[in-house]
This record gives sequence, C-alpha cells and structure tokens, in this order.
Amino acid sequence: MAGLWRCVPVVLLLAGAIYSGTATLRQQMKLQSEWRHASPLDRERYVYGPLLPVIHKINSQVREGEGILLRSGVDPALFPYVFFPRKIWQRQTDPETNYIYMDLPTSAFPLRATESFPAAWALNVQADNLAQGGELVRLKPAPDTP
Amino acid sequence: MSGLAALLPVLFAGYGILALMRRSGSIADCFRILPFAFGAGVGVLYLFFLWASWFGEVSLTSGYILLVSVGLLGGWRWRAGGVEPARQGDRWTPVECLLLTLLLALLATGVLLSVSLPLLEWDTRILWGVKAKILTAEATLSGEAFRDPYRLHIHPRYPLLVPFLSSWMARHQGGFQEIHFQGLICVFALLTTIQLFVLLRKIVSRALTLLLLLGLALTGAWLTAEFGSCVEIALTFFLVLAVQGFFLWLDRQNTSDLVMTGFFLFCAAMTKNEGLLLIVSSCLALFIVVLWEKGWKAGIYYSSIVAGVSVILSTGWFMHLAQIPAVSDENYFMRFTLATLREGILRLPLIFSSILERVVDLKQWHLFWIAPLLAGVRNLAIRPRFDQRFWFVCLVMVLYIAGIVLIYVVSPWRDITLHVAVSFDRVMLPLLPLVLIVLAVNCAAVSAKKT
Repeated sequence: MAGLWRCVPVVLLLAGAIYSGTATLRQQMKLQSEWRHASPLDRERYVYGPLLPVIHKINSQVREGEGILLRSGVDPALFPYVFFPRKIWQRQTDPETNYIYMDLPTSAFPLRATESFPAAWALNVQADNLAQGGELVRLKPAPDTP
Repeated sequence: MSGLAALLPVLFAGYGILALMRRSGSIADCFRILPFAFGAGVGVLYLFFLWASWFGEVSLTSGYILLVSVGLLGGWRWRAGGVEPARQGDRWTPVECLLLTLLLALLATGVLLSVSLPLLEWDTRILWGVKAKILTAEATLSGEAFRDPYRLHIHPRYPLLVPFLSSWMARHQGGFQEIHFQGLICVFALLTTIQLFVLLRKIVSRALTLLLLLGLALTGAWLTAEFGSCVEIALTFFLVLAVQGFFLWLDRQNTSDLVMTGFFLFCAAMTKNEGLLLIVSSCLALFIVVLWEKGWKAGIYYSSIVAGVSVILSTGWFMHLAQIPAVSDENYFMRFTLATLREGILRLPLIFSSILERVVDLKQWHLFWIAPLLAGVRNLAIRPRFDQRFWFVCLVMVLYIAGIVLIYVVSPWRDITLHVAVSFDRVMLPLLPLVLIVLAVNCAAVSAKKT
C-alpha cells in the first residue's frame, strides 16, 4: 500500500486511462464490426459522404491521365486524394475549403483563362448539383478520338 | 510486405549513424537503441531527399546508395572498437510479466484496429495521404504539384517527412496503398513505446515503467490518433528521441548528444509545423535549466548547439518553401502583428473556455492533465533537490502550451472554438510522453526522499 501511495498520480492516471481506453477501443470495434457488415455502397457513402455521386461520375468518365479544371462551391479538399493521379486545377488559386472557416488575405495570383489549362475536363460542383455528381464537360477530345 | 521491408535499409543506415557517433554497444543493445536508429535513418534519408530534390526526381537507387554507404561506414566504425560490454539484466517478476503481456496485447490490438479500416481521418487523407500519393508518383519538390499555384493541393507548404517516408514504402510496392501509411504510423507508435520504456526504465522501476506505458497505450487521445493514422504520432516519436538525447547529455556531458537532440528536433519540425514550436520550447527550456546550474554563458552555448543544428538542417526545407507558392495558407508567422495580437487577445476567454472543454473530455484525456498537477504539488511538498530532467520537461510543456495558445490568439479562423475543437487533441499529443516522464521523475524523487 505504501508503494501505491507513493505513486498516487500514476494510479490516478491509470484509472482514468482504463476508462478512456476501454471507451475508445469499444467505439473502434463497433465501427469495425459495422464496416464488416456494411454493403460496398454503404462503405463508400461512409468514406466519401455527400461527394460520392461526384466521385462515381469522375471515376467512370475521366481517365487517369486526364486533368480536370474544377469550379467548386463545396469543400473540394477531398478531391485531390480521391481523384489522384488525375490532376485538378482551379482558375482561382485558393481552394474554397479554407475560406469557409478563415479570414485569409486575397490571393496574389490572378484569375487564369480556362484555355490556358491543360485540363481535358471541366467540373462544376455546387451544392445544388452535388446529388447529380456535378456538371462534367469535356474540354478537349479524348486522345484516341479520330 | 515489401513496403514495410523498405524500412529495413533505413534502420540499417540509422545503426550506421549511431555507430559513427560511437553510440553503438553490444549486439544485445541493438533493441535498446532501435528507435534511435530508426529516427536517425529516417532523418538522414529525408535530408538527402530535400537536397536531391533540387536536381529533379529522387530515385530509389540514389536513396539506397546513401543508406547502404552510411550503414557500411558505421559497420566499419563499429568493428573498429565502438563495442561496449553488454549489461546484465535482472529477472522479471510475475507481475512485470503480466503487465508486459497486457501492454503487448494492447499494442497489437491497436495495430490490428488501425489497419483493418481504410483511412477515415479527414486530415490524414486531405493533407498527408495526398502528399504521399504525389511523392510516390513524382519524388521531388521541384515538380508542378508543389510549384504550380493553380494546381489544387491543400496546404502545399506543410512539411513532408511522413508523406515522403510513406512514398518510399509505396515505391517499393509499386504504388500507394493506405495500409502503407497506416503501417508507418503504427511503426512510429510502437517505437515511441519502446523508446519510452528505455527512457522511463532509467528513472523508475520496471513495474512502474510498464504501468506508465499502459497509461499511454490506453489514453483515448493516443488511441484515436493511432486509429486515424495521425502524423502527430510521428511528431511525438521525434520529441521523445530529442528528450532522450538531452537526458543522455545530462548523464555524459557529451556534446554529440546535444547534436542528436537538435537532429531529432529538426525531424519533428519536418513532420509538422508544431515541430518548430517544439524547437523553440526545447531550446528555451534547455537554456533556463543550464542557466540555473551553470550560468548564462553555458546556457547560451548549449542551447545554441541544439538550435543551430535544427536550424542548419532545416535550411534545405526553407529554401524549398521560398519556391512553393503561399496558397490558402494560414501563414502564422505573418500574423504576429500588433493589430492581430490586440484583436486576438480579446478572444482569450473564448480560447480558454474551449480548451477547458477539451481538457475535461474524459474519453480523450481522462485525468491526464490532473496527474502532472498533482505531481507538481507533491514536488512542492517534498522539496527534492533540483532535478534538471524534471524542470526541462516541465518547461518544454509549459512553453509549448503557451505557444499553442499564442497561435490560437493570432489564428485566422473566424470561429475560434471550432479551431480549438478540431485541433486541440492532436496538437497536444506530443505532451503525453512528457507527462509520463514528469510523473516518473516525481515518483523517483518521492521514493528517494522516503528512503
């Protein structure tokens, strides 16, 4: 007991950690079990949320080597990760993601003309067309088009 | 598997560096210095990448030439007489065996649960995962992905050590897979535990060390970060190595230990921007602690060694930063103006109330923040002799927390409570092992006083 008394802060820490760890592990195990029993579509919905229709559309229509010129009214932060290796450009330099939350200075880079980008597709994603997967328009013909 | 195996040459080079610094001991000591060797190997490989990036893509072959040469050079040095006799270990009691089994089971569960789901953590995917993918396809900082301001790339100016290492693994496997990233973070988590075991074992008994490590492995914030493959785990790893370097210096007064501290703080800064704050906090803490015992000249001398090494090694990265356009960047350095500070100070009550909300979240932090306070109060009561380790770690913690609060003060986020809510648990993660060290030193002081 004397030894324990010497280590009161450690005992306190451990007691709290057991509560905290058990709760976190249980939560993760629950998520893992739900994941195992979910259908592939449900899993995708969980990972991509409301962006899923856009992701389906891009994956089915845009080839991996082709680039996309994006105009977005929703947070586009996930697009570069999900669409990789397709390159994504924006005419303005600042992705909207940070402007939703922060007061940032105006960009030092001017708005660029659409034609100046090597993008093969233009994608316009807004809150009102998100469910349809956004508006996807081809800018340049596919390389194998006669 | 070849992805994970790609870390072995990194480890080999790390052992080589330690041997070159006469840090190697007997073969039996290899396990004890495993985290140190891994950290050293990772740092050297990343440093090479930073400089080689100026000349285009960094090939795997050039990386291998570096790693193998460093490893062989160290091997030659090691044979040349860097061998120390192996220490005789004492026997493990049944309670210690039980605690170790529990700890190992917990670590294994953590790894299994981390890799059994895809990457779900938002920041891991949009910041670190995407950078790992980019570097897998094009291993250079001079490419369009980092230099073209119109290319959609969230925070292109964030440090890249972890994404680069993940891409190093991915290139061995033929392409990026999420499991590489998850595996890498698990490796960092396991090595942090091993390093902490080595560090705490020198201060307190083995049973108490294992109890403290169980406290770490069970903390919700740590588990959540591991499940989400958060890079803060790597940041914590490098901080623990830096602290270990400082403790070794206290024991041996060998300047090379301070050089290693500076080197690992550089690695921390290359992992996350909070690492820069850790450099400042550690150097200031070192200065104050040395000042107390040896006077201000020694304080300036030793803290400049650590600061100098970290800053000199970081120059390669800052030269690249000058070329990477500032797009959607918070740029906290530029926000330290009188006007922003005056405005931000008015938000302090809101910042503190949001922090308090996070601190009392029992599921994430349980009694974590109360334990060091209790240790501090007990320290006042028993009045132990001045312990540089205790005060160094306490000062790093206090300065780091003050720095984070200052960042919140100048934060460009409109809703500061949201900024605290989404970032606090992760940015405070490196303090977890520091609290364990404070508790261990305090327990050792209490024991010493009673005997």
